Amino acid sequence: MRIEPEISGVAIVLLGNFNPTIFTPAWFAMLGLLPRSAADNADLQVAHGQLCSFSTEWLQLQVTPDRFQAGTQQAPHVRVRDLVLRVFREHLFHTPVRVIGINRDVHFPADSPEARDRLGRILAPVEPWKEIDEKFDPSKADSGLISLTMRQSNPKGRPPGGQINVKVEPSVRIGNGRLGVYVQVNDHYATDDATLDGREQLFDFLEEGFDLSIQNADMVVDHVMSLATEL
Amino acid sequence: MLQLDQPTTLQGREEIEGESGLEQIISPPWVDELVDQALSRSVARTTTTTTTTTVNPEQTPRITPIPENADEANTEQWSHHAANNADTSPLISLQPKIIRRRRATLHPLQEWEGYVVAIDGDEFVARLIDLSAGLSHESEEATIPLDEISDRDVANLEIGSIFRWVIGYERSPEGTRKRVSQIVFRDLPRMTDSDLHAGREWARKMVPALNP
Repeated sequence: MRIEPEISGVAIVLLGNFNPTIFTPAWFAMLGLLPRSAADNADLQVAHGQLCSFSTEWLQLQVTPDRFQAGTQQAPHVRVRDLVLRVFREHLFHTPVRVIGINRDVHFPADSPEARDRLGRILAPVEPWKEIDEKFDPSKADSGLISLTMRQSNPKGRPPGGQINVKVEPSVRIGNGRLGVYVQVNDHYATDDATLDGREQLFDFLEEGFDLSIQNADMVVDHVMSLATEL
Repeated sequence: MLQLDQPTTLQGREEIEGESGLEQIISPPWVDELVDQALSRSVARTTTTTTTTTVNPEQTPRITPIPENADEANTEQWSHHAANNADTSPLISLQPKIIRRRRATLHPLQEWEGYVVAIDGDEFVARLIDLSAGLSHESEEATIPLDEISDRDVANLEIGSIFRWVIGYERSPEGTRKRVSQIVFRDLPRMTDSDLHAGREWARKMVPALNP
């Protein structure tokens, strides 16, 4: 990437049916999915029937009855992939999973406020909005783009059922509200096959496609960075 | 782009039905609520320690190119809480305010995948695939001191062990930035019967091609 991110992470999201109660650090340690020392020192936030949430030095995990999310801000990001595959292929091999998402999210600083404004206006030109009402003028300092999502359905070289969603927003976490840009790339894959075969397709996608998905996401982020760079 | 100094629906609080996008992984607001409630009931918290090895980049392992003739080895929603709570809540919370720790980010500048080909005394030799260069075959060989990896990894080290080696900048929650090198051995999924079956099928198909 041409600009070093200030916050950079990867998360894998599964949608299906989960039992949050079991996803505790102790469970991960008991099955050898995390070292005992990591489990003992985990920051357990909630362990409840509707939510389990904990973090370790590199892992952040949150599970609700319909959603499993494992993420990291620490490279190498492939650790998350390995962990998710071990959980659901070695241990929870009957847990229904119907959607999988590989998410890359990055907060980076634009070169200047002007460069960030230029990025916003390239992605969402202000002229069509000015015509609605002069008061609704996105070129004013307190107006403008707050979120834009582009979707590519059925990306090439992939089985049908996928989509890539790219979201660009001003970052609320870096740059004092003036410089930061947030980009999220959501590589989403769903299957209509509700059987275990369908579930295996999802995990095959994760197993074989994770590295490529992250590479592609980084290319997208780099392209957005190129639009936020001084000319 | 709009200047923002307050969170709105941004960075992980969006709700799109059926979406597998990243939600607020650090601390979605409804998690904060539950956490605050849980903590106020004296749920124990502990500090986090490292289980992987961070090594001094000044002492990075030696890398030597592999000769060309070398043998080929080798979304949905975080419930309806998410967008509708917090700022407009009429309730005054009497819970103690929990200050949440921001996390360090390690962004890779260079990343290799390696596998161990020899263990010799207090060091091991590994072949490396330069993932940052988009390579899929090993192009370098490194001699890495055992001091560079954790005790747990040393105990489990064997020929064939696979690891990732990352060099990058780590930003602390306070914003300080340092260059780090980290070696992490992978916990890959175990081979299953179906994996072995698929491997046998693949081999059965390949043999005639290799012996026409």
